[in-house]
Amino acid sequence: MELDGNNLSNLDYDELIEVYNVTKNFISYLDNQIQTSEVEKK
Amino acid sequence: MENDTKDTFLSKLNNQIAIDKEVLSILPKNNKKNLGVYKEKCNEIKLIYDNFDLNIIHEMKRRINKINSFKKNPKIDELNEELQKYDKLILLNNNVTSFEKMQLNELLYIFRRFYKNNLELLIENINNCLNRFEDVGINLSIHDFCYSSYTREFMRLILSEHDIDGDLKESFENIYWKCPDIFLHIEQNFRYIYFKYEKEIDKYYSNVENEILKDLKVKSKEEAFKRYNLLSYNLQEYINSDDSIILEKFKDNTYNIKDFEPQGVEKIVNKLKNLESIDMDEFYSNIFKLQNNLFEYKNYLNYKFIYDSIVLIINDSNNYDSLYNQNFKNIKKLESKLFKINKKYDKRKRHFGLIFKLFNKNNNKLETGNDNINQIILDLKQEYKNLETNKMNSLIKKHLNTNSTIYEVFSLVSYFYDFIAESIIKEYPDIVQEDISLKIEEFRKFINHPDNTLINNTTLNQDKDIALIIKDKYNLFNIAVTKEDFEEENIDNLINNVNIICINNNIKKSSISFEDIKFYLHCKTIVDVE
Repeated sequence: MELDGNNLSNLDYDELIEVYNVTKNFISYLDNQIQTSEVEKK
Repeated sequence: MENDTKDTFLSKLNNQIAIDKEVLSILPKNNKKNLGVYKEKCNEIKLIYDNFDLNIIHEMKRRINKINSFKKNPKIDELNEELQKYDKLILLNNNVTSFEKMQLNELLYIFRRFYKNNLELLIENINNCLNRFEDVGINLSIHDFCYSSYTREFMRLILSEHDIDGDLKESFENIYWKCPDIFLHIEQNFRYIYFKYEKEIDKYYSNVENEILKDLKVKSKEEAFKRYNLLSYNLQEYINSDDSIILEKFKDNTYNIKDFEPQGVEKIVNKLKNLESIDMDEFYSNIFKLQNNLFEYKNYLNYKFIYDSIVLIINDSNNYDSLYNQNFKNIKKLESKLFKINKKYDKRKRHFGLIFKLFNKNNNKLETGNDNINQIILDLKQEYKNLETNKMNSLIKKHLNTNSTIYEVFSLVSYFYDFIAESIIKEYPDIVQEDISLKIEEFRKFINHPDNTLINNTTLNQDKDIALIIKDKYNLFNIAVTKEDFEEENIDNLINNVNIICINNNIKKSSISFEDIKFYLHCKTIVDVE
């Protein structure tokens, strides 16, 4: 899937907020993975 | 089509995330090198989602800006400006004297409680009093300030516009220890001055009446009051359904978004409907009327302590006219005595001043003269206070009776500042001066509210059960309110529910929607942080 802003204007308010939450959660997950791998590397 | 788009988009996003998680999960992490590769892959994927996040924020900002772009209806400022011309309506009210029209009573009241204010404010107050006389064509001079040598000394500096930080403060320091009641002296002196020039001031106001009618482009006082009510009503209608004002009220938490969730509002509506099948337009029209009546009723309860005091006066058997005349005679006697003593005191002061310098004699006689003057002024303070009370009571007896409406009762006394302020202080002993003025302002706004029907029609004879009168009226129109809803512990809840229905309706009439507002409030915090 192409993750760009092209389809965002078609979403309703609730959908846009949900997309934001899901994206933010995954970014937190990735941050967590990066930190964990840093610790394990040491 | 749109439904397909949004279902597909979120599920596509979730699928993509699942794929990316899968990609990461199969990467080995068993050694440093592999961990390094894993971390790099995480960063690579994170970059894509960070950019996507920026796009989401950009879209949120776009929508927030669109919602926030509603401008206030220009009609609102126009009407506010037009209404300011009607500030002078009190000058058309013949139930009050020139003293109330000058609004001198409000300024003089501040001197009575001088200890509640600071010196700068009191000096500003003196200047405001001087300006009020100037506004009605009376330019005061030092000769008008004849109550005591201290009044004269202090006013001489004020009239010559000395700087407060310099001579005035020093003069005050010198005067205060000799005359701690200096502000009471000044207050009574201003009252004396008003009566000295009363005929000229009355003439000014009778001339100004025609100018005001011309200015307002109306032919009579009645027309002026009618126009004022219509303008106020129209202004309120515009404000109620204005998009930017509605949004502002949610932004500053005047309204709580949680109160306007559709299911919650529907619950309240169903609670207030007496019939299942009811014409909803008629229902809402009656709910708006109920909102106005509840506003009136609640305010009536808030100010009932004033109403009750006036009812007592209407029903007592005192002859306030003759009491007023007696007060007036007493004041004239005391002032005549005061001016005689002042003359003697001034002579003695010059005389003793010289003897003291030459022979170092004590000046006990001077101090006794001073004490006499002070005592007379304190007596005058009481007489003037009684005069004000008896004047108002006399007007109450003249214009009000048991067939008068609540509006007529409140309206008559609303400009007698002393009475209202004293009543408020009695009811709220810890109240500060600023809040007294605020409360009086709110009281006047309530009396003159354009939607008042209850107080304009309910007479003193009918004031026994106003709650029942309201309840019965709305039961007739299928609104389910009970007498219990109007009890002290329940009325705020009823008012709140009715307000929610009305505000919800106003939102529907506007160009902004509940969803717009909810989105705005939720996402504003997000974009501000991001």
